[in-house]
Amino acid sequence: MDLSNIENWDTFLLRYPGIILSGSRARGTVKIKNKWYRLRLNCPYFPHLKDFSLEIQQPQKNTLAKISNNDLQTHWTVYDVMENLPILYNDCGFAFSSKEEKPVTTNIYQAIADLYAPERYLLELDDLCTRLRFSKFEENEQHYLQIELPSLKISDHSLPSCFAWEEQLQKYDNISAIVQQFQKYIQDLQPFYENFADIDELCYVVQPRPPVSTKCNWRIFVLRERVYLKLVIADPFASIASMSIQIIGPTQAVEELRRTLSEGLSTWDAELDIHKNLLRIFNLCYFPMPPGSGWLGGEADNASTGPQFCNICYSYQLDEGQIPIVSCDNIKCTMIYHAACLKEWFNTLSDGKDFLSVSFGACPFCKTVSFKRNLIYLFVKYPDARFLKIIINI
Amino acid sequence: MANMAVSRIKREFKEVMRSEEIVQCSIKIELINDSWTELRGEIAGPPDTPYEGGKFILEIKVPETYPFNPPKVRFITKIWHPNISSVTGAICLDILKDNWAAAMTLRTVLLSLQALLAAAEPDDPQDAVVAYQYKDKYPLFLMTAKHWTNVYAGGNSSEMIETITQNIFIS
Repeated sequence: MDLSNIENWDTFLLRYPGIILSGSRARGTVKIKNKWYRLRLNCPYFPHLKDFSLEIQQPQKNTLAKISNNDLQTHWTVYDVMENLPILYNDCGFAFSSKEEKPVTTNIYQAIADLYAPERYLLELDDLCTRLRFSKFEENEQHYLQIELPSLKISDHSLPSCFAWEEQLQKYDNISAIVQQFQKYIQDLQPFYENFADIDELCYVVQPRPPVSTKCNWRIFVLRERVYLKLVIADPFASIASMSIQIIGPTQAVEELRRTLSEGLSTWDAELDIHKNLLRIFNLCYFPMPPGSGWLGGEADNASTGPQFCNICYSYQLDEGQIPIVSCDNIKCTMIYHAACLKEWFNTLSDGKDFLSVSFGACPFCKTVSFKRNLIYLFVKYPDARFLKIIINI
Repeated sequence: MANMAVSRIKREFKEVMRSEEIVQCSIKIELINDSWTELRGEIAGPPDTPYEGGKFILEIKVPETYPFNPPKVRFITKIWHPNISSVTGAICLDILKDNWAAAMTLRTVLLSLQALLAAAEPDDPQDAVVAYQYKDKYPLFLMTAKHWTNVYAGGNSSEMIETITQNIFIS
């Protein structure tokens, strides 16, 4: 290939910045008449079409559409082929709405090359050059970000699922800005992750099952035998202000704990994290730990610490990840159930009731005491005048 | 069949197979089809009853909605009992109807049926003729029940003759 030929390719690459050249072969993504095309072309006598071949990936398929010389005019060059792609193969274009389109001012793949920084994160590009993945961020190895090319749409990420991160990150029109903002979010979310890290390490977390995703904004952990705490943080940027605590357990036990919690929340210590505050509120040295963990409280031989099966479905974990933590109000009855199984059981009873957030019915085992799964909301005045929502199961 | 029903039946099947009762040959269970919807149970007639020595085969059909609804159980082996139809084998037992609980298992059902053979409820009958005989002509009921056990459930015929003789002297 002579020098003039290379210069010709340069002109071509400037016109189609999504194309990457390798010898006489080129591949990548181009936009022609509001449609994107993913293609591979071989043009040994550029820009002439002698021995020319072109393959286009079809949308939603893994097959390639090939354009042969029979479809082409004899006087055409590569430029003519590119301009006439919509006519030559009209159903190969990937249509994007104007909202998703990003102005591509520079070669997007050059921008990716500039972002290569192995000491800060791992950067991966898929074979079709349509998906870019950043992972193993420095000091935050579990985080990742996936961007669709060339639209720069966020297809996946590791941030908490309770917030519309995609909308926030979509505001930026270049990859570098998106990645920088993503890393800033990770830093801003440190208090959120630290609060949960303490609970994961120092409590017996029964749900979600480990390894817990960085997207998860809630935990259920053992408070004492047959009683569990469910902690939810609604706004990851304001962990304390947006947290809600639900107590799950037999009515009598929950009523006592509700009073303890209400009193304790009024003296919440803003200097301490959630875990330490909860220990102080419930007057504990430590929360129960999993059996055999070697930690204090880990050897406690009680019903709540060993994995027990639901006495309705006879399984431990449901597909949605639920585990059996609901127990009967009758202290002599040792049976535990999944909330979903119990609700379904109540629905089959003639005297069972299901109204809004309340479900009533007899225990499937002892049948003597009704369950009441009723959620009430308390708004407790906070030391710094904010309000804390507590959801309690009575 | 629903996932929950299948996984539960599989567990319960194992529970019965490992139980003490299987060792003592008082209850048995076997699978009829691969979909786990049909099983065959077997219970031994309880001692000191006219059903002693008999082996009673049961048809167990597990509904899609199990364990929220009870299994459908009937006697295949003909039996003379106030709470079991002498024609169809249909059973009148509260736990198989309104008093079913999701925490009950195939093992508890089989043991409850065994208990039913030992303690009939003639005031809540399935078979009115048998119930009438049980209440008004108990010796005849014992003799008939023993005879049916011998003929249909492989009971002991020598005991049968002894019972008949005793009943003749009693009446």
